[in-house]
Formats: sequence, structure tokens, C-alpha cells
Amino acid sequence: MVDESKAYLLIDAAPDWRERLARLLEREGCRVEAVGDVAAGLSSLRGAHVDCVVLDPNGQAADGVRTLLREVEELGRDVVLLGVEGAAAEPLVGVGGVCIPKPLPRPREMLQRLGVRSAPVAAAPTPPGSAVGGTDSKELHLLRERCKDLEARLAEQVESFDDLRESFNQELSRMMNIVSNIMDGILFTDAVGSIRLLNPVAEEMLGLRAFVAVGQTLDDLEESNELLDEIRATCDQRPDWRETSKTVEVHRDDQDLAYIKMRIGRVVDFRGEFAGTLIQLEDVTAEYKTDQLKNQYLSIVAHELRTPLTGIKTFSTMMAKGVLGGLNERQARVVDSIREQSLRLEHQIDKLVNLGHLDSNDVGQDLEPFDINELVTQASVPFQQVAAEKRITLVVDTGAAPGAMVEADRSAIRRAVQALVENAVKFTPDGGHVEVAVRQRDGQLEVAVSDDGVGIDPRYHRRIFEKFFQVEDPLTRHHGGSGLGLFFVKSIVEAHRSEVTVRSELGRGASFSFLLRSHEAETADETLATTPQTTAGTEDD
Amino acid sequence: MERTVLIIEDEKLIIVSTQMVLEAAGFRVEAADNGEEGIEKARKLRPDLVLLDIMMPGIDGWETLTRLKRDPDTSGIPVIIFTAREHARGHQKSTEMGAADYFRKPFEPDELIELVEKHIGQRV
Repeated sequence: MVDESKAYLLIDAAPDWRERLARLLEREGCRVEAVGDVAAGLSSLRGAHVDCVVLDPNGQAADGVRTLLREVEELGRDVVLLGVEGAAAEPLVGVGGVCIPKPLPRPREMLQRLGVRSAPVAAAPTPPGSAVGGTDSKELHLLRERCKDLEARLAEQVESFDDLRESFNQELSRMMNIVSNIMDGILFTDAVGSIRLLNPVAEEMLGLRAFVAVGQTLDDLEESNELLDEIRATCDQRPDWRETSKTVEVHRDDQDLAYIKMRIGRVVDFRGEFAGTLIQLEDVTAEYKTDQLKNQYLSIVAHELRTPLTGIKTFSTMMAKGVLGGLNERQARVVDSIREQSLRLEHQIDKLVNLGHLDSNDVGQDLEPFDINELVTQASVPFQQVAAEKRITLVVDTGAAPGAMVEADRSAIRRAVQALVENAVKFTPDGGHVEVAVRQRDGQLEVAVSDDGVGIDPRYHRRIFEKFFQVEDPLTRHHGGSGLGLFFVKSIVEAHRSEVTVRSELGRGASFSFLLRSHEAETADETLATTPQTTAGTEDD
Repeated sequence: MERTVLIIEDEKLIIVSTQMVLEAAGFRVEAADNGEEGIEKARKLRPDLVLLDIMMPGIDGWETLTRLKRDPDTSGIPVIIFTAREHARGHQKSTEMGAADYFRKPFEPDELIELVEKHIGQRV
């Protein structure tokens, strides 16, 4: 603002210079008085307020110039000399005075040297009577200035982009370094199935070379081996899966077996759209072998425990039957108790062995036809006494599907039913009811264990099947247990390609059920081709 | 006609308890405490059924089963595998190898009798 209202006194003998400069300053909003000689200038300086005197001393009277400059100095005003420079100007304004040589520089520079700051375009008032051509050149000039500005800013941006790219590249190479050195094999295919990433461990495991494989799809590759084929099969199998994992047995050259755990997960982008498939390969051979040893050990322990148990169970049963002579009522009660406790112990041993078979692929594989009603009846026996102690009515209802046969892994199903009955009895308060039932449903057989106990909050219905999960509740905490029961049930039932259904609400009891394929002895003859006697025997009975 | 069951089992306790159950049900019971002796007795006594343990010192139950099935003199005798250990796909494996059935210890005495009744005399 100050600049615009600055008052200039312009003294130049040449009328064209005078006019041009006056117009330039006026366009910037300055007040300008232009005169042709020093005498007129002197009277103007004395008559009105002047901030800056612009003087071309050429063609002026030398003493007039001196008088003027002295007065300007006394008044403390600025002075700009035109058309003289260096040594020629020194005697007039001293060293460092502002001198502008002629021909005068471009208007922008000129204005700067005259001490006029460029006003914002919009704010610049258009002086009346200014020529159209002049406005154009000013705008052009402004544009040029703007361009220069932008150019400089662009250069700055490019520089910071370079920095960014540099640090991005560093970050990327650091990440690739990590991926390359990671202990697991990593394979990533994009949304259309092309391999995008294959780290050295995956190269080794899959027998592929990244420089060949990257860019191709898994099906394009000619290579074939157990692991690669398994990945292909799994990726093709289910388009709707999100994550799946599986341990694959791989034969190594030296006839040694390796176990590779593969985890395949779908990757989605921030919009939730499918972005590719990430395949992680982990060599679990050592863990697998340790696991086998553990299972073997548990199996031996179980064997050692079951042998004496067979004696206790058999002898007590035979005594209870009176085979060893009649018993009085008290003796009979004690013998019954010995027998029931031996069944409980047997269940505990089964659970112990189950621990060893947690991740085993064998569960649910050893199929045989058997009477499901008989099995649930037997499976409930070990809990009759515990139930009686709590005055719980434990009922086995086999009336709905008498004589029903299923084809399943008998000992696994028995463990599952026992775990459900054990839980039902555990979580049902004194005087409650537990019912085990077998029913026909959708051409299959449904096994259901229901109680009227504490129930389960629906928000836990999914989590209760997780390994070691127990509902944290002050009322139930004292029940103890391993938190594995329902996990076993789920694994066993799923191994039979079925699922566990839970219906429960807090305080309203719980019902767990699952379906099993029923076994038709007459029609399924080819499945029993290896045991014709068994089939015949079953039919005869 | 008295029906004979041969138990091949290294645990004395199992022999005694099984014997008690089967004798109470009217069977005659013979026992051998290892595979070799079992095969010998099977050949000599021609039992109506064999109860065979898997884990035994010397030749195990699987090997004993193989030899019994290979010998024409004993191949017709139904064999029930009788085990206290978990065997991967044990039921399938034993039927594939020619056993009549597969049974886990500790057993339920009534079930054992039922099973023996079912297979006995079902000559292969």
C-alpha cells in the first residue's frame, strides 16, 4: 500500500523517457510529478511532499543539480539517478547511490530499482487513460513472471520426488531383502494368477527359477512336483475360500520325507477387491517328526495304562454279573462303582491320546459300520455316576431311530459323544436334565446332546470350538478342564465332513448336534467288498 | 460241540481276564504269549477263532496275521485283532490283511462275546 501511494518527482529533459517512466509508475498506483528541468523540480520538491526524486542529470544545469541533491539529502528523501553510473554518479550521490543506466531496463526491474513493489494483479487499480497495449504487455510480463515462479516450484517438486523415489527404492530393496532372506517360502500371484513374487526359499521348495516363473501363471509352468501340484489343486478347488492351510508330504531325492506346511490366503486391496493369492511355505519336517515321536510316546503310555485297566474293567464287570459268585447289595454297589470309575479312567486315557492326534490326518479315516444307538449308550455310561451325584437325570433316547447304523470312525465318534456328555453334565446344575438322542434327519442320523444348564452366550458360539478357549465366567470358571473338549468334537465331526450345530442361550441350556452318514448294509456292498463275512454276519443278525 | 478261542497275547492279565469272560460264555480258551507260539498252537489245535494282540515281543500281531493267512492250514480261521494302541487306520488295515474284525482294549465284556459269536465258525 505504501508503495502505491509513494510520491515520485521525475526530472528528465527527454520528454519520451519522462512520459514512459511516469506511465510506468502511475500504472502501479504511484503519484508522479514529471518535469523537464531542475528548476521546476526544485519548486515541486519545495511545494509538495515527495518520497523519491528520480533525476536524469544529463542536460541539466550542474549547480541546479547540486542544489537539488543537497535539498533532497536534507529532507531525507530517496534519490535515483538515471543515465549515469559508477564514477560519473559518485560525485552526485556518493558511493552506493541508486543509479539506473540508460537505456532503462525492463519495467519490472525498473520498478524494483525505483522501490515499487509489484502489487497483486487483482488489486492493481487501472489508472485512467492507460493505453491498452500497455496493459497487455504488463499481463504478458506477469504471466512470464508466473511461469518462472512455477518453473522454480516444479524444479523443487521434481527434486523432492527424486528424494521420495530414492527412499522408496531403498525401502523396496530392504523389503525384498527381507522377503528373500525369510525362512519361509513366499509365492505371490496377482489377480489374474500371474506369479509376481517368488523368493529363494520358494524357488528351492518348488523347484522353480524366479526369472523364468515370474510373469507366468502356475498352470503355464511345465514343472510338476508334489508341492506344486498340491498348490495348483488347492487354488483351483474352491474359488470362495479365504484362507486354507495343509501339510504336504514331499519325497526328497535321498528318499527322505519332508513335510511342508502351506498356507494359502487371498489378498484383498483396500477396496475389498481380490488382489492376488499369497502362498506361504514352511518346512515343518522337524516339528512333524517331533510330533510323531510325541504321538508314539502318548500311544505307548496309553497302552501301558489300558492294559491294567482292561483287567479292572473286566473283573469288575464279571463280578457284577455274578460270574464269581453272588454279591450282597453293598458289595454289588462297590463293584458297580469300580466298574464306572474304570470307564471314567478309560475316557481320560482316550482324551490323553486325543491330544496326540490333534493335528493328525488320521482322525475320521478309519471308517466302519456300527450301531450308533449302542455307541451313544455306552459313551454315556462313564458319566452316569457323576450325574447321579448331582441328581442330574441323564437319559439316552434311542427310540427315534432304533437299530440305525452309521459308517464312521467309531472310536473318534465315541470320544466326541463323550466330550459332549461330559460338558453337558459339567455345566448343568444339580437336579437338571441331560439328554442324548439319535434321530433321523435329512436322510442322515443326527446325534444330539442337550441339557438345561447354564447355557452359552451366542457371542461365544463360534469361539467355544477354538483350542483352549473357555468362557470366562465367574460361575463356570471352577469347572476346570483343558478347554480342548469342543475343539476335539469339532475336529472329529469335521473329519467326517459334517459340522457341529450349537443352539444355546445364556441360562437356557445348550444343545450340540451333528449329522452322520447312515450306513445301508444292503446297498453299500461294494464298500465292504473286502469283508464279505462281516456283511453277511450283520445281515443275518 | 465245544468251540475254541485261541488268544495270542503277551500280557498275562489280558489273557486271564479274557479267558474269564469267554469261559463264562461257554467257550474253551487256549492261550499263547507270543506270535511264534501262537502260530504253532493255531496249526496244532485248529481253534474256531483267534484273538490276536498287535504289540508283542518277537514277531508282532501284523506279522503273525500275515503268516496265519499264508498257511493253508490256518488261513481259514477268523482272526480278530485286539489292541490297546492307536493304529493309523487300524480297522481298515486289519480287514485288508484278512482279519475278520478289529477290537480295542479295554473292551466291554458283552461286546467281546457278541463279536466272538459273530465271527466264530465263519470260516474263510
